[in-house]
Amino acid sequence: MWSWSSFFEFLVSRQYVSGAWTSIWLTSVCLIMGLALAIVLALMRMSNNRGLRWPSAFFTWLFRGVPLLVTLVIIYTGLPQFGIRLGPLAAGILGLTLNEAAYLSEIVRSGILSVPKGQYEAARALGMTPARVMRVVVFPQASRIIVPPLGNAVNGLFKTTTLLSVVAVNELLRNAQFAIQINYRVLEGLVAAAIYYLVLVSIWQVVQNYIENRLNQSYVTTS
Amino acid sequence: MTALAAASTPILEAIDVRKSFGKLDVLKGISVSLNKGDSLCIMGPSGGGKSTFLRSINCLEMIDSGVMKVCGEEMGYRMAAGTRRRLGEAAVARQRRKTGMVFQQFNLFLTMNALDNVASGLVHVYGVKKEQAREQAYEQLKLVGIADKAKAYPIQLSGGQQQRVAIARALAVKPELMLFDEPTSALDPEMVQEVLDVIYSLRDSGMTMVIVTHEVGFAKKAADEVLLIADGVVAERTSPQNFFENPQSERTRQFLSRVLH
Repeated sequence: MWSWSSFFEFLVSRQYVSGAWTSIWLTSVCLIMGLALAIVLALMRMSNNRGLRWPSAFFTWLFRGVPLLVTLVIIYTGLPQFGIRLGPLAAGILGLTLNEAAYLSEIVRSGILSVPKGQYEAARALGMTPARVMRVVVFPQASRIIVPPLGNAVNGLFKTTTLLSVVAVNELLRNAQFAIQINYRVLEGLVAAAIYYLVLVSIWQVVQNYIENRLNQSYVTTS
Repeated sequence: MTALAAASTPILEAIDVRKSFGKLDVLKGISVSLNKGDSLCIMGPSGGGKSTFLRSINCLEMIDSGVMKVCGEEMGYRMAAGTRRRLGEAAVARQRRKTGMVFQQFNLFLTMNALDNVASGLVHVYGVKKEQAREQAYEQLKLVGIADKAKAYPIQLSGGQQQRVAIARALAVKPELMLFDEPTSALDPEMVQEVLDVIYSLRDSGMTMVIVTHEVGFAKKAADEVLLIADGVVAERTSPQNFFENPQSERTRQFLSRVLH
């Protein structure tokens, strides 16, 4: 039988709240580091220099090809064979960041490629340095193309943090599993966890819509 | 340099400029010089090398050989210990400050309103404070008669308005030489005049200009001299009157027979 009281107990339990918080900041940290790495990878990929292009292509190929679960287990339980010992959190963040960067770099690249050549030329003709051209002209325009798929990626990343439960990171799902083991209310415990994910993803959706509207401001034809 | 020498230094000096794209020779040895305050219209058949020449003045295209000087300084190269070295992109960017360019497709920055487009050179090239740059930009917008659209984004402006903003953007950083690459070719016919009027008043103010154009009436009125580039070489350089009424080169006559019906 379904127990409403257990369900609500799970919902307001400290374990759930702290687990959800862990999932949120893991998502944020991995997103920021992953995005920074992705921008570097995308710029390397578009470089004229083979020495930059190939390592970037290799990285993307590798981390998009290997399942994240495998990557995580290799980092957490495989690397100690070489004397590299990472704690659960460090291993989780590393694996998730590398994996995310590989996907995001393609999103960033397509955004940068969407900026018309004339925009670069106008900026260069004014006398802007290459770095300025990117920062002032290209990235603001590319971000409009990047944000919708990036929002999807954030949504996916947030849910993918559940995978870190396998390397003993106390995120929401792992905490839920611990909580369930106390009273064996499996369904109530998991539904409560699912509700956390749904609510947080919905909140993110609102934030994303806001960002998208902001970025579209200059593309609206009626003033 | 003495005052006399400075006065006689051409703003633009191209010496035997050559450029090819793969096997296609686009510029086959072009030499042109232009003094301060002069305006030169470049005409010629499509694919003849007009735009390539214009774009090589500010190194948007790098030339293969020859010398391109703006205000006496060689573009894209420097002399170091007796050898000629190609400059890095950042150093070329600094050289480009002496030129302003207006494009066929306007190329206004899409995420900035008209005012910030015009201020962009001051802020991001000269490091002027934003507020101060906006004040100067607003004055520049007034000069091209479009200050009432300062807050509008490019997509909210007509082609003619966008091109006037683009001219203001190029002028805001006070270039020595203005380069126009078919500034009216992408405009609806009823918008051509407003852009031409801005360019005429610019010429009257003594700006040195190189203009690539197909508009015969415009060339007649705006140019001190007309240059015909065809097949990668200069076929003729003369006054507008001679060019259109008494062309010396056979290539010019061919060209004009197609343009003037």
